Amino acid sequence: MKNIFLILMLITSFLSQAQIVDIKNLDSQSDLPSGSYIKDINGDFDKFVGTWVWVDAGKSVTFKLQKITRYLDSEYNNYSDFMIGDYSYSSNGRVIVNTISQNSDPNPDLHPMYSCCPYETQIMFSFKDVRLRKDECRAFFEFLPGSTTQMKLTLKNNEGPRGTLVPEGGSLDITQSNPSFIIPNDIILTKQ
Amino acid sequence: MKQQLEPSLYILICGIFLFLGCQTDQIPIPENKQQNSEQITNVSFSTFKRLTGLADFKTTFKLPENSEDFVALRSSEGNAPDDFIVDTDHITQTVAYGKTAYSFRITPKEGEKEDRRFYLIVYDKKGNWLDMIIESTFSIDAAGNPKETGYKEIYASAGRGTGCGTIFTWVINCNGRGKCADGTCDLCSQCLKTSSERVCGKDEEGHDDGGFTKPIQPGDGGGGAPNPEDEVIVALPILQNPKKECNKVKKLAEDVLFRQKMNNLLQATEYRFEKIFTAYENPDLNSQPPSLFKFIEMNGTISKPQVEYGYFNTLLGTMHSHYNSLLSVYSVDDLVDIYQKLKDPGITDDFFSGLVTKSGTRYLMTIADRTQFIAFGNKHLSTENGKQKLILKYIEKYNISTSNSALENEKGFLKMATELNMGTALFSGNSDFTQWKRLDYANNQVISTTCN
Repeated sequence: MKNIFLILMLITSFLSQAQIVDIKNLDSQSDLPSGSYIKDINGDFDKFVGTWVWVDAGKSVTFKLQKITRYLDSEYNNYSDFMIGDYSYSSNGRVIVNTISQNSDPNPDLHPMYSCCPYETQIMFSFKDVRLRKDECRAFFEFLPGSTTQMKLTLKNNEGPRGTLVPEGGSLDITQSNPSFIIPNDIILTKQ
Repeated sequence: MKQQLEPSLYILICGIFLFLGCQTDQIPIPENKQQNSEQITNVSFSTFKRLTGLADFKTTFKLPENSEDFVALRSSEGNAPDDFIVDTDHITQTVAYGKTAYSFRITPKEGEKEDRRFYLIVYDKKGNWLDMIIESTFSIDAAGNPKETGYKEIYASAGRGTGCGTIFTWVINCNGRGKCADGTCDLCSQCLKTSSERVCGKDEEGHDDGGFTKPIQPGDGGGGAPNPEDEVIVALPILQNPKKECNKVKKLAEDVLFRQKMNNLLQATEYRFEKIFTAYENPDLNSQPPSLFKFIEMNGTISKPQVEYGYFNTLLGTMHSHYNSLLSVYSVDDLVDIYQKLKDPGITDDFFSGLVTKSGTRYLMTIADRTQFIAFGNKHLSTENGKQKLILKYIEKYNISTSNSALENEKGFLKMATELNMGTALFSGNSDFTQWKRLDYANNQVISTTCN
């Protein structure tokens, strides 16, 4: 009983000292004290959470966007709220790609989409095209003016040069990766 | 029983040995510096205002025209500038004998003097904040290191009194032992060199209208032993080597082939794909046109704002283009690519990155402080979380976007580079890439200094 009381005291003491930081604060995680909680205080993520669908002429795209709360980042020993995403694309009943329901673990490394923070009426995710094996892309979701149920999706390749170290004597010719995406781009998604 | 060293203990011991290995007359660059009884710290402008109560401290400084308003106004040149911009990004606080002094680098509004530097000192005297301006003679030694001598007080506010001031200076020197010297990294390639001088007011012994300075010698105060009661003790901001980065750029500007390739990039901004040149040392010095460099060209894919390229670790630099609708300055992804190069110890410290954009901007970026740049990258470019936050900072905090003017983006980028301590130097080139100006940010404006 005495031990339980001590543990409870320690946990209470820890929680009372943890610093809560608004998710809109863009300070680097390494600048925050250990034990900080980067929290979606005003629920800015909430409007993006859910299942979003586009259907057109036998084609269907679905995004499942989830909010993860109080996730421990062991590198910095702090906690944060963030969003992860998964997607599926079917054409005429044939599944082209599907990452939804493959993994319920909230670890962002196990999902093809991640977002640290919202920005006004839009949100930016990192986006992995798992079929074309393109890692460093971005997915932008932006609400249509005045709407809370429809968003436009824009997929973008990363900008700028991307170098690959070649051993001395090797070939410097690097094949440029496919600029397209496996799922349709510039589409309007509707909340389910 | 034989005990194994824990990895962390091993690293600590190695670190101590590396640290001690640097101890000659020069010391590695620390965050805070301790000089005997003086505590020297870098502080932000807001901290300075909070600690001094000088809430309305001006970021410009104009010497009063009426000589009755101040105690001293003198210059050996007789033509001291009288209107300055105060650099509030690098403020050094010195606490000694219970008294505090702050030093600011100040730049004449008419432009920087090649052979002189100026500092504003704000110091506590019996509970009042007084100020003075110190002028020094500036030069670059044969090794390319900056050097300041001949400190003079050219202005002091009323109430200055007759005491002297002790000026501590800190210069970042290359000691010739680091990676740049022999290709191995002993963490000591850049060290701080310290020195001190005394500057006295007009009524002190030996004073003439030019003021006087004397180096402090052990047991000799230099114009009288320092009296902690009257002495103003202050350390100046760390003196970087501005010419070092300019010299890197000058070498490029003088190279015909480099200029040709930058012109090629200018034409490429009309296309819908990115182009990149990677630069290596030219193995054929008889090649035409003569060049120190051998350039290899790669083109990206149409409508994709990215170009992928292979490189050897003998890479000296890269230059790439931004077509219409791309940023007029370096993007976060551009910085990621530079960061990934600089993390490789095989890549030269003199790495450069050129950028030509459809907006008409022509930039060169050099790495003034590799350690600082890597620290910036570790914090902002190494994780997806860091990159996303930096992209949002571009938009929200530094007002950098494709819809802005090139000047707005340039100012935002320089502000970011200053505030986030990127450790880079940015240069802007003229239409034929022969003339380059170094761009810095201070007091909410871009300061341009001619390089060559």
